[in-house]
Amino acid sequence: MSGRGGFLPDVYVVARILHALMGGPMPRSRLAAVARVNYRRFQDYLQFLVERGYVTDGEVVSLTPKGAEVAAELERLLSEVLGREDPFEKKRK
Amino acid sequence: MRVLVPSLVAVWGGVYVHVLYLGGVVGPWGYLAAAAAALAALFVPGGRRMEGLEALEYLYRWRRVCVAAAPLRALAAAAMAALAALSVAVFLHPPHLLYAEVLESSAAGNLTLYTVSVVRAAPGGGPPGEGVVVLMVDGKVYMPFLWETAAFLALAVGYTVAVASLVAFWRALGSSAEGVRRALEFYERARRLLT
Repeated sequence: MSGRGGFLPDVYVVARILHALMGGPMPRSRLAAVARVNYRRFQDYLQFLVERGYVTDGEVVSLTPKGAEVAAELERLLSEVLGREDPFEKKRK
Repeated sequence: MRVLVPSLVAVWGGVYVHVLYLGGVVGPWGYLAAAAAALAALFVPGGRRMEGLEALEYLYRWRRVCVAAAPLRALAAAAMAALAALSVAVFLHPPHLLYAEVLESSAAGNLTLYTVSVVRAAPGGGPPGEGVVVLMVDGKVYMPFLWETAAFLALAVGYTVAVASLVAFWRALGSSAEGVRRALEFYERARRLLT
């Protein structure tokens, strides 16, 4: 996953941010805490998401319709990956 | 996996305590502390239960070690037991050292005679009785072979090498574990989605 100017965003951090924003707009500081990165690093993530049109950055950070679609897709992907039956469990049954 | 870092710290801590003892900074009780640290490393409090995105992220970050967790735990338990036993043994029978500074040396036939001044004894605080003499010549310390030093170093180096080998060996097999495989799959598909 390549970003701007050598910034390589971590998929899991991006997923955490988008997942948190699905619950509604959030102030930057709270979102940085949810993202579990330092504030400087969080700003890189925020800029990355704004550049891709996933979020809008104002008084609070909120998802754009495009961002909401991606977040929903991530949620679906998460359910799909986690929801499948473990083949080893199946074998043991 | 929780035991990995504390156990590595404990084995190298054992070496450090031994060096401190040789330097006269700590008494034999330092070994007792090393033994306590070894036992404490085995009982690191358990982590909370993770699920969803958090669990996948954990598996992804630790994918190289996850599948090696059981053998690593067994290895750590063996190393910590050995460290605790060694530390208690050295605490009960600490090496007695006499640091002697060479003031003058002279030759007499095949013999070299040294005029020395005893500067320190370890353990300090009393007559060392029979001890090993450590010669100090022109600021250089000639430390004789001590089985305690060899044992602490062998344990630390051996355990570190064993852990590194095990992790390297399992690295190739990492993706075969179901949980790790799912974490990798999520990572790849999410990465494609976000770019």
